[in-house]
Amino acid sequence: MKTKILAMAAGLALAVPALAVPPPATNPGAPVVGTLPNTSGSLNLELVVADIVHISGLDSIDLGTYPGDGQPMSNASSPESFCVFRNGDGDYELTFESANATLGGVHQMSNGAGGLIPYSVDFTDTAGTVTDLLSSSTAVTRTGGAVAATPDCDANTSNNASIVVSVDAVDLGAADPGTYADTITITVTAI
Amino acid sequence: MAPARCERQNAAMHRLTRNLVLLAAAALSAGLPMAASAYIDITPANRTLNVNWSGGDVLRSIDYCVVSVDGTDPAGTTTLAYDVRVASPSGALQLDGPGGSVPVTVEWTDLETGITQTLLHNVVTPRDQTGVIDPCPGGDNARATLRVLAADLYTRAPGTYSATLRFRVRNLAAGVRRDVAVARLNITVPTVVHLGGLESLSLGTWNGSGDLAGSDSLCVFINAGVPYSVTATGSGAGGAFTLANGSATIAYLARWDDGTGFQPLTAGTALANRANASSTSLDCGGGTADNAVFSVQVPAANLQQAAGSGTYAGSVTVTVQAQ
Repeated sequence: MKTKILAMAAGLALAVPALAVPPPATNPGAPVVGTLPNTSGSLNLELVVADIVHISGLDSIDLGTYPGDGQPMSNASSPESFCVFRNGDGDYELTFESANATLGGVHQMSNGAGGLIPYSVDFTDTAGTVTDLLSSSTAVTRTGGAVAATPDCDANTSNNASIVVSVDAVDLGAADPGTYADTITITVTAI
Repeated sequence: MAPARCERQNAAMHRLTRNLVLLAAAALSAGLPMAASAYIDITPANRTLNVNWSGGDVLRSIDYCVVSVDGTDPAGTTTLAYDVRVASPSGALQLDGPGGSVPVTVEWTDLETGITQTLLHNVVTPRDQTGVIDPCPGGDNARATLRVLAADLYTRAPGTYSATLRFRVRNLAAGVRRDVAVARLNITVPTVVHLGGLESLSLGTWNGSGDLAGSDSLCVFINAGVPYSVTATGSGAGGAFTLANGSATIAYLARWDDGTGFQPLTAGTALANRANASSTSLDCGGGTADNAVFSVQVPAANLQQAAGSGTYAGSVTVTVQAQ
């Protein structure tokens, strides 16, 4: 039995402020009668930096084949690292949604024939805080901590987040033979 | 006695003596006895106005005493109406100087009636101006007003522009009498530099990729038609080109194109030897022929390093100077 999880990412930008109109320049046109013309003037500049989030560097996780040894399976020895970028060290929220979540929102892998194996997801952020995601619909909120020099963490060479997926032995032992897979959609949202 | 009044009385005595001599000569040459005649005199006979123009319309006036009476005694006979005409040796009501001619408008006001009329070159007004007896006991009775528009001066090359205006007044009784006053107007036009067309720039919203940029076309005017330097100073610390959101800043690049290609601007440092300034139109034809471009570019790398989302704002002061 092979288990595979595909992780997908989506970045969202939220709450883009309306572009404000800068005040008028101080020397827009013709000279003022009664004085010599202006030799200088000022103009105003303005730009808006939107709330920006980005997630990158996600790869598939292959847990291998269950040998029937009664031991759980996970990628704990090689967590799947990825990059979460939030400009300005702002707050953000992450969700990890399973494609096979059933009522109750448990992460599950499917063999495509009705067979399901539940699994857990542990998210570790930059600060090393681990969150056990019991539910597919659980949102993880972070205050800052997603600072990266570049939106892709320098081409994912300095990723700042990771996940570990784990399958309990009892669930593996009860499953029918076959290949089980799931897709986790990770969404980061500026808040 | 007030100097002006003394001047008028001296001038009146001079005119009287001259007119009497002329009348006597005329009478003798015609073989006729001297007859009663008219008298007219305008003072001051000469006046020079020097103006160092510093902007705005030039408006100067000269008050005259026009004595116009029936008979040879300027102080003791019936007043006569007179007409007036202005003429210039240049053939037009204009100042002439290194940058060509500049129109001058001349108005004549009858201070006794308060009626003002515009004088045209070498055109005689109706003989309806109010003459007075010598020496204008109620004060001057006429005023010449000279007006030169700023719009006509801006576009002239630096230098002195001059006009000589001859005001001839004339009455009619037993013979025509006339007198002339000469007014000289000298206007010195300095080097005029104007920077126009500055408009604020909204650089847009950065959503995570690409540079942000904006540009503004401008009009640089120098009446001397010489190269210029341009200096831009930002609103950041020490005049730096930065936009701010509270204490957070984003640096940007500024450039200037005088039509020969964009050149980078260094905050607070003059970029010299710029060309193509207009010397003929103060606003470059209402902005249709702007001759410079100021541009701003915010590299994505700078935006990426922004401390946070939000609105970043700043200003740039641009100064041009003739070289």
